[in-house]
Amino acid sequence: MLSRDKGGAGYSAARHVAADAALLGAALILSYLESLIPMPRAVPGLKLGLANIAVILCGYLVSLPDACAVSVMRILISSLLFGSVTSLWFSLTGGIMALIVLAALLLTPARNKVSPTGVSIACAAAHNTGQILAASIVFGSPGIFRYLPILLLFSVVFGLITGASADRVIYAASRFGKK
Amino acid sequence: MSDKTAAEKKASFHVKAGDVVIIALVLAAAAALSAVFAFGQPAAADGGFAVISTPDGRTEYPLCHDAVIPIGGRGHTLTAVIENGGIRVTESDCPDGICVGIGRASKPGEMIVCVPAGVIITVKGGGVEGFDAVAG
Repeated sequence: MLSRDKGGAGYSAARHVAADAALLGAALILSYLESLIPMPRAVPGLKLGLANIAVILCGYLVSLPDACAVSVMRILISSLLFGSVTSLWFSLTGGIMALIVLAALLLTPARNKVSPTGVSIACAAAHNTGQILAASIVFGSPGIFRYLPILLLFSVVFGLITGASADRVIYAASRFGKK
Repeated sequence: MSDKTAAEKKASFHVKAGDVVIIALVLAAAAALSAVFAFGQPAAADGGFAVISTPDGRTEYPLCHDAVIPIGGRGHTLTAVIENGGIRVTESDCPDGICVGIGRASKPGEMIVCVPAGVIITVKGGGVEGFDAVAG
């Protein structure tokens, strides 16, 4: 996944490693910041999704395989540091769903029709659907799906915030010519 | 930062047509799902409800409102009482009285069954058990 040919213009393996490490570090700091912000307990699984910023940046600025690596590593490490084993499965299922949507949007002609903000909202919605799916399997109760509408509503709001942030950084990075 | 121009402002937040489509799709999914779940929902967000099914049909009662409910079935009469978020059968003229003896049901999935009267009382959740332990 760090091979030369898969990367953007002229990226060496070393640059991939460096960029991934920097973005993974940023994602973990964002996860930590997020864990400090209290969320209403009435809606289980409600999150800001700040780490999503780093994953989307990685998808746009480095490559999709790198974004997958950063996202999965971020989820594994942040679950160990700030979460629980149960939350790991929810996050992992959500993260994989989000990556599938990210791939669908970035690797197809749809890429030119959406901005990072739209990608972020779609990924947030996919993440929430995935984690509710995992929760319904873990708890053996499809009743958990009744939380999905409110989570989808918040994924538009939070996805807009994280997407606009990613958008700014991608634009700023583009001004340097290459990353 | 004197070189911040109109060009940057223009580029700073661009929304494309696809974004609008994505937002519309997500909101439509949320609306459709909430419409599906609107049926049979308890009045209180945190509480469950009791489904009382008799030979004549089924009725739902929210567990957040105390109530005394007479239930008839196959010539027998039961009295169910909802209080403190749970339901129990306080009186029954059925021959074995198991439905009274079984006590209180308050958690999703708990049941009270009266075979002679053909009555089944099931608690359905609002809040799902165990969710308080999940974070992150």
